[in-house]
Amino acid sequence: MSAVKKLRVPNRLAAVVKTPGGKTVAEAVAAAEVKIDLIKDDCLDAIDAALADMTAASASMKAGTPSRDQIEALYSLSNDVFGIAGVFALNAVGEAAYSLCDLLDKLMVTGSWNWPAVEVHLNGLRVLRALGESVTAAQAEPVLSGLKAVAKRVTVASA
Amino acid sequence: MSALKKAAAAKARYNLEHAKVLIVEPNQHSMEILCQILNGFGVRAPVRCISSEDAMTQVKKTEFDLIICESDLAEMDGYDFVQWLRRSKIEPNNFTSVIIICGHTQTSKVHKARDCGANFILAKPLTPKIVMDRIVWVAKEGRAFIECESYLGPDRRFHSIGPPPNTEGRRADDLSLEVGDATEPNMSQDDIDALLQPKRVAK
Repeated sequence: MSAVKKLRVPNRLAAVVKTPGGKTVAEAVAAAEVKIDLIKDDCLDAIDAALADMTAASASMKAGTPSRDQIEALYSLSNDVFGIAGVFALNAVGEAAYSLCDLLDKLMVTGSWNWPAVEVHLNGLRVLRALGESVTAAQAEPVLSGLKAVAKRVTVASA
Repeated sequence: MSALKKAAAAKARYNLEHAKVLIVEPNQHSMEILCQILNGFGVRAPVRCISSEDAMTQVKKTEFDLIICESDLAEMDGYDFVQWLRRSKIEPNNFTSVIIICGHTQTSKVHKARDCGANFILAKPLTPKIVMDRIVWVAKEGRAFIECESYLGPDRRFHSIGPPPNTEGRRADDLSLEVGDATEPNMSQDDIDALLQPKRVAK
């Protein structure tokens, strides 16, 4: 069994935040929300660009099993969409992107491929993005639960 | 949390104006989101890196108070970067608080996330409230660093639930699983009353 050493180290961040001045949590959050709003349009454009890239990247995946690098590239784009969408109240788009990541991850782990399952996710993402912020959680729920069910079924089948 | 503690927490002020922050994020828009959030908190000009290699260069020349690192980096991922940092002996950065941010985590990387030595793993999407809460949490924590063959980083057993089941534990302060006989007589009621020292509360 290896030896364990316990070290007491100073928390530099703690020392800095305690200096006079600063903001309360509420003030800091409010200021950050104003700042984030400044880049909202750019980020929404980036989501649209990523979705277009995903469509382009998947074009060659219909015919046969893509390489691991191709699946990784699609996974990475979907992960980017997930990371940005939720910041700007596009929660449904974010959840659909997460479901696609989950599906692609499992396909990479098992070394299998299922184009229809991927395609339905891409279509779902496009529909939810087109609806934008206007889509309510109740409206998005059937789409999202459908996508998650597809991902789960494929995962179980390929395990 | 009691109402009193909540009120005190709401009034507490956190000064991040002089905090030296390093952000490692390859996605341009995610980087921008994080910078805007930190800027709103008061952080001035965080150092931006898009890869582990850039970040390794930065930690060799600047002392940081906080490092925020994306997990999904090309070449060396964020978990490997933190692991390298903890073992690097580049003081004080090897002990700097690190928050890893991650989107979807691949099954193969779940254990790496647990074992890399970060102070906190923060799941995307990032909102100002979530980021601020975690920065405050990291700033308040006083966890010791644990160094052993397989891990170097903040103590992961911060809930004080003892060693894992069916093991004796490896630390000097791990208590034995066997509860022995009492070595001293039980306290008397007077002793217990003296400890409590009840006082009348003014109405």
